[in-house]
Amino acid sequence: MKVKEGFMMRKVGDQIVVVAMGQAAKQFHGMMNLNETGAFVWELLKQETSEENVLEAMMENYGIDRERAKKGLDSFLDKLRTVGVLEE
Amino acid sequence: MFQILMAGLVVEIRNRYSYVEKQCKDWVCLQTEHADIVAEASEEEILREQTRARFAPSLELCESICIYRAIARELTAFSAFVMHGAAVELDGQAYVFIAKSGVGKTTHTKLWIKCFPDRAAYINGDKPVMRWQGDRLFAYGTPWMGKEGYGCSGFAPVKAICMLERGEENQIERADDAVIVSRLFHQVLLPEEASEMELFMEMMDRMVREIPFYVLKCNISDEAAQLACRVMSRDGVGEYAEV
Repeated sequence: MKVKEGFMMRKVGDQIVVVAMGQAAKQFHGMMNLNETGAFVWELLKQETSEENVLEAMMENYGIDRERAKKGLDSFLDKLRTVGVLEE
Repeated sequence: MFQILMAGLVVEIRNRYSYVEKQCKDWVCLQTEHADIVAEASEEEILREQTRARFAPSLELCESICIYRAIARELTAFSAFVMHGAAVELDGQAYVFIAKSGVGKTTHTKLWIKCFPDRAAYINGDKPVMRWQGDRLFAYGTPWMGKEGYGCSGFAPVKAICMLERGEENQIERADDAVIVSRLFHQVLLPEEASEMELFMEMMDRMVREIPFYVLKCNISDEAAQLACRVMSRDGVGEYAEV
């Protein structure tokens, strides 16, 4: 899985936001706010990867167990699917 | 075709209808060879605008709307953007009010004009141009002033941006970045081109970091304007709330 092309993630003040550009902006309007974990996962999803790889990176980066990582990842992926930016 | 001077830029408007030229009459400048921005709306865009609107506006009004959008899209390269809000000048500084439509930007800003008759004036009551010039952000008047037509061709450096909410009591406090970001993007037109997005987001980031934003909960009273003015016109950027 990966995030679709045409999105930009960057900081505005102390917030991390994602906006769509070019063609992607035709389906995705406005912006999406990410927390720190969201931004970490987003970076990983810029290249094609698997859920397993993302989970392992989260466990290592945050020192959390699989169950907690999975819970966080599932809800984040749901959010991405809802707004249609995930390619699976 | 005619040229106007707006936000410090020469804008060439290639119009089909006379309405937009009449609207821009106070901004018309001497023709120059080189315009910073050239704005035009095709027949197709004008018709699409007419179909989109809930009330059926005339084609000449639709052309005007399309032309302002075309200008807005070109502003990024000049460190500028259109903000949906009301900009009021007081003692040489601009206060910009943003809110969801219907909350009462016009109602509140009219209180400023009433309470500070010799000191306050509208720069633009609906869609001012915001432009970074050197290290300051300025709010500029434009010929597009919304249905009320409040505004002038003046400009002033932005002292504060105020996000309005209705409230029983009047209360004002500094807004944190999460609140600012969640509301700001509803009031600006994002560029479509990928190449412009980086510049545009840079401007948003800079504005959030450098300009004080406030949340004002207010009723419709002179006290609301007096409180907002007293707090936002202060120098220094301490964290405080006031009721």
